[in-house]
Amino acid sequence: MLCCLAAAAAVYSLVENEVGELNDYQLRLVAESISSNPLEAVRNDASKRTDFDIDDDDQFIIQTWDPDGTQTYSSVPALGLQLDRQNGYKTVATASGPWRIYCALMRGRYIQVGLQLRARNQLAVRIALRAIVPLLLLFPLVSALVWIVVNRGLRPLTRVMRSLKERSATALQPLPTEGLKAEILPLVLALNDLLERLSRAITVQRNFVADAAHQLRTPLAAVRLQMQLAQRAQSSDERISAFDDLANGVNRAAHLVEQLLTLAKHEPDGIQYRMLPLDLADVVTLVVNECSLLGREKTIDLQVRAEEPVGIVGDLEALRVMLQNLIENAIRYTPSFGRVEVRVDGGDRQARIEISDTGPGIPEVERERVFDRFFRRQGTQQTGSGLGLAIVRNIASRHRAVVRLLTASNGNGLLVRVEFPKQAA
Amino acid sequence: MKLLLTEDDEMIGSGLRKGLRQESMAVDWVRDGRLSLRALVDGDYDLWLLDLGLPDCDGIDLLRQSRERNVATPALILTARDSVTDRIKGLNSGADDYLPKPFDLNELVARLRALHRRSMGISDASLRYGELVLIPATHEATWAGRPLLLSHREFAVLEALLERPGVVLSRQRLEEKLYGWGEEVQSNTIEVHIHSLRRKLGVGFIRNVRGVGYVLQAQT
Repeated sequence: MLCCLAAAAAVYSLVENEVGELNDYQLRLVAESISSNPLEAVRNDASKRTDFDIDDDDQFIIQTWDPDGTQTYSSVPALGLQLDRQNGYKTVATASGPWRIYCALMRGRYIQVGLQLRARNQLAVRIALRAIVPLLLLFPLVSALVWIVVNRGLRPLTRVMRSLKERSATALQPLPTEGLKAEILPLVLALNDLLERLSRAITVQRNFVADAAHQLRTPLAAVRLQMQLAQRAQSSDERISAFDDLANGVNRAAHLVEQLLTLAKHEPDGIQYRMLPLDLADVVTLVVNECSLLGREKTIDLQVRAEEPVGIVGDLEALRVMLQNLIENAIRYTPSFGRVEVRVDGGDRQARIEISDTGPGIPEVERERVFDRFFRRQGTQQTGSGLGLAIVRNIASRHRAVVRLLTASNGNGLLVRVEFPKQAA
Repeated sequence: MKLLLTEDDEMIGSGLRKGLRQESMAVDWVRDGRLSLRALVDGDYDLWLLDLGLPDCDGIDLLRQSRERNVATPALILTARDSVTDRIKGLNSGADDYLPKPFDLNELVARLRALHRRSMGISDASLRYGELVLIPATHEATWAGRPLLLSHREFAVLEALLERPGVVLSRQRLEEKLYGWGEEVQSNTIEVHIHSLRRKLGVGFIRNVRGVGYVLQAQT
């Protein structure tokens, strides 16, 4: 409907323009015909018409003037239209409404020809209506046709929409693509691609939750067992040792929960990092100091080589967690009287941390798997969470750093190397 | 009662060993599948307590392999995975019972005893022989209706003898039933227990078959 009105307005404005031009042309033709006729003929012709009525819309007004400004003829003297020596078209307001006037100096006299503006407007309306009415009659027909065509065009989309509406939030199987038109196929394929990625992400998440629940059961089983043994204790010595075991069990369960939370925090879509410029040597020194007690308890020689400041951009807390996991791991898996060395290096505009120990190392075939969540190497007596290296990898990759496991220079210990991206010159 | 414990977790392993010893069970503890299989084939165990979450192999596979090698020891599996399909899979692979983590120690002991009774073809929870009644679940013993005070080891010796009355048990066999690996066994320890039991039950109750071992006196 709105379209129809707009079309009508457009038609009217076009017609008005055309009618205007046509009328102007008509005024000029009349003026020229007067100039080629003898004045008398005009006068005689005009004198016959005494019944002139300025309200007659179709009536021309004709006036002639001598160049000195004396009126020689006027078909409607009552109007009192003055001479304006300017040649050309002009709209003049009079007591009986606006007039369109053409004025020209021809053969030694001024000729003024005018027509009421109202007349040409009415003409324009009449012509415009004649053009618009068939359009209005056509409107319902056209709209019905458009409705049918659009509906048919959208039918595949409606089908896709219905099949999307019908499924539950957990159903992520791809949408059917057979029989789809080429226009809609790319959309459905893109949707299917998204669904597939979403379903993969959900599966990973679901497995993680299931794994986490199962992994928590083992420390809980230990705690429950230790608690029952404490209840059964016959002597105070037995009870004390049972409570010590129980405390260890609780600590282990708490550590696992802690590590699970840390892992979740440092997932790619976890907490927001505050990336600030910082000195890696400072961070390393800080963490080594925090771990020194653990090292002393096991009589492990914990060395740090971080003399030069090494600037990087990173999240302080995340880097601390990463280094803590790496250094604690090194201490835990190194036998007493062993040695753990932490080195920071910023050569070649690339920041690098190396942590080497004199422990048993990790055989090459397992160096990729140890990053998996809950992966614990066979025969380890350490009751770790199996999450430490998964956390380390998450944090490193959020800093676009790479973690490599290598053999230490002593030939069997582990060397962990964290390489940060190269800085621009 | 001699039990093989397959458990890789240090805390659970040491806790179980401690708890089951308090129940007069002799516990041998191994931490991986390979050693378990060897112990089962070579040793003489009344029960096998198996944790399915082993680092070197799948516990279910281990169970299957042991059954393929004709190891008939009744097995109770401990596992963190407790869905119905997991249970069915475990039982179909040759397990006799199933306990999800975290478990209750008392329930575990009760299930182990029940499993042992079933494997011995005993349906009564108490063992009876003449005037003697042993209730392994509660460690109670009565002689002619009067309570009898027994140490863990003494109870275990009587239990072993009562399980198969009429069968002569060698001293070595009894030692195996009483002690797990790594436990100090004095050379005359069984004789000491037998001597003490004879004082409590009368000299004739346990007969010494010279050069073979011990057996309960036949009841008339």
